[in-house]
Amino acid sequence: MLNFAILETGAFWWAVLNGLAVTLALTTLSTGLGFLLGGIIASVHIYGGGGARLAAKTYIFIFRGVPLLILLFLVYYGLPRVTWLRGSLFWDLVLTSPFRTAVFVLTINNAAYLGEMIRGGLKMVPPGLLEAAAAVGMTKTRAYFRVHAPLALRSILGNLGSETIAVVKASAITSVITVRDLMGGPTVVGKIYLDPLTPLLVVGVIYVVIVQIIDLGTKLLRSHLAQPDVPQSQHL
Amino acid sequence: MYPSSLPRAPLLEVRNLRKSFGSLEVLKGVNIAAAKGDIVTLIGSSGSGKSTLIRCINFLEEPTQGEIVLDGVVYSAIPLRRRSRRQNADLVYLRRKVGMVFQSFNLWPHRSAIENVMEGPVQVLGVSKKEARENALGYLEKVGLSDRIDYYPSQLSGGQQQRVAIARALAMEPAILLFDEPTSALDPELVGEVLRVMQNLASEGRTMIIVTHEMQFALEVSSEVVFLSKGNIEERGSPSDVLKSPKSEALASFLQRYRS
Ligand SMILES: Nc1ncnc2c1ncn2[C@@H]1O[C@H](COP(=O)(O)OP(=O)(O)O)[C@@H](O)[C@H]1O
Ligand SMILES: [Mg+2]
Repeated sequence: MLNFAILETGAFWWAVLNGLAVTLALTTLSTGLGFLLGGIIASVHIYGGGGARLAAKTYIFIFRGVPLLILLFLVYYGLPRVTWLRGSLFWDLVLTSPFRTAVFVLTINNAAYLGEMIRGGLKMVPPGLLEAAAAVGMTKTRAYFRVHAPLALRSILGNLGSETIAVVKASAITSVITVRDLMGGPTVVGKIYLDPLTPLLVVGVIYVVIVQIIDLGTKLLRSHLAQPDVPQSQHL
Repeated sequence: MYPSSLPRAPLLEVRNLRKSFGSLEVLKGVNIAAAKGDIVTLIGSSGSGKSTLIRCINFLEEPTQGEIVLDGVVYSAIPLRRRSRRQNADLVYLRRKVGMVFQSFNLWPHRSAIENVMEGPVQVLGVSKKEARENALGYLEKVGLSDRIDYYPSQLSGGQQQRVAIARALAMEPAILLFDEPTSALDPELVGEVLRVMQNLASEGRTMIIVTHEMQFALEVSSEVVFLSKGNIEERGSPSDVLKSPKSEALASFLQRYRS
């Protein structure tokens, strides 16, 4: 039966606080790194030659298709069995900690989703705007950073918000490889106090709040980047 | 004026330009020359290759054969092959000296009018923001948009957008300006304001290659009118010769359709 006694223990709230920090770190790191990797993959897809393009396509095809849970298990339980990885930088940097393994797997996964999304954004920019950049003498690289990427980013901003929300929630799954995130930390305390349900309720509410905050943040960012309806100032 | 009494070294030459899209040959060996201050007007029915021709001049379209000569520098077609880094740098140099105004304006929607005008000088020429801004104010004044400098493209009428686009091209101080049907996307009542700006540019002695269907305008400003038909120059000469007394059947019937 629910008696909520766990709510009066310091250990529980400590776990919630810690878990919150871990979840936010997981989300921020894997979204940031995934965005970077996804941006590169998308740009290679759009600008690259045949081979690079195929590689980008294959990446998105595979990592958008494989369930996160399978990827997580494969990396956490599978890769440490690959003996020649032992002692490599990858081993030390990623495989030695569940948290970093989780960041790695979420990044790989995010990069596929974000890559596909960014690719869509890049394709939506009218070619004439890039021709205009070329016509004033911009190099392809400059036109990419001044015109193509900023416009693509603006067009996917809404989706970016919902993607981040999906990541926050999906990151809860990393508790299966013992990451003490918002899901993992408090539920472990719940087991000790023989109360598995209260932690879930509390944590569920916190997830809802996080999602609302991200939603709000995206809206603010969008209105900040949108062109104003009325020009702010006249400089003459 | 055409025909010129004194031979002048052309500022721009298009030599034996050919362009095919797959098996479709769109330009079949076109030659054009413009001396400083010349205004060459290209006319021709839809699909005759006018846009392709003008886009080949600044290599937005890679010619299949032929060369563009600007100010004595020869830029050759390099079909079928990716340009080397060096050759790309050459193109960037060419494009800095050739301004282009598009039918659909192509202003960057995330930048205000003045930012659109400043972008090329700041990003490509390395002009300081302060100086670029001062210059941009001058160019926007020239096109009559001093009171719209902080407006975004979406807040401007088509005619205003096209005038910003002209200011953007002017800001690079190009040796030559290309216009591809600059008024074709405009509501009829907005055509005049853009043509007036172009008329002013003409009277400043700017060198321009203009694709247009505005026959009265062509008659007034051109030093040469070139009639393009199915990828060939069918007829060329002074505006009054070409527009008033066409020799070929094709030009006569083309003009018939545009005389309203
Ligand atoms: N990128 C392209 N790919 C294939 N065909 C094209 C392309 N651009 C133009 N064309 C073709 O070339 C011909 C000339 O087009 P264009 O130069 O736009 O004519 P105009 O500007 O005189 O109307 C048309 O038949 C058009 O369909
Ligand atoms: Mg055209």
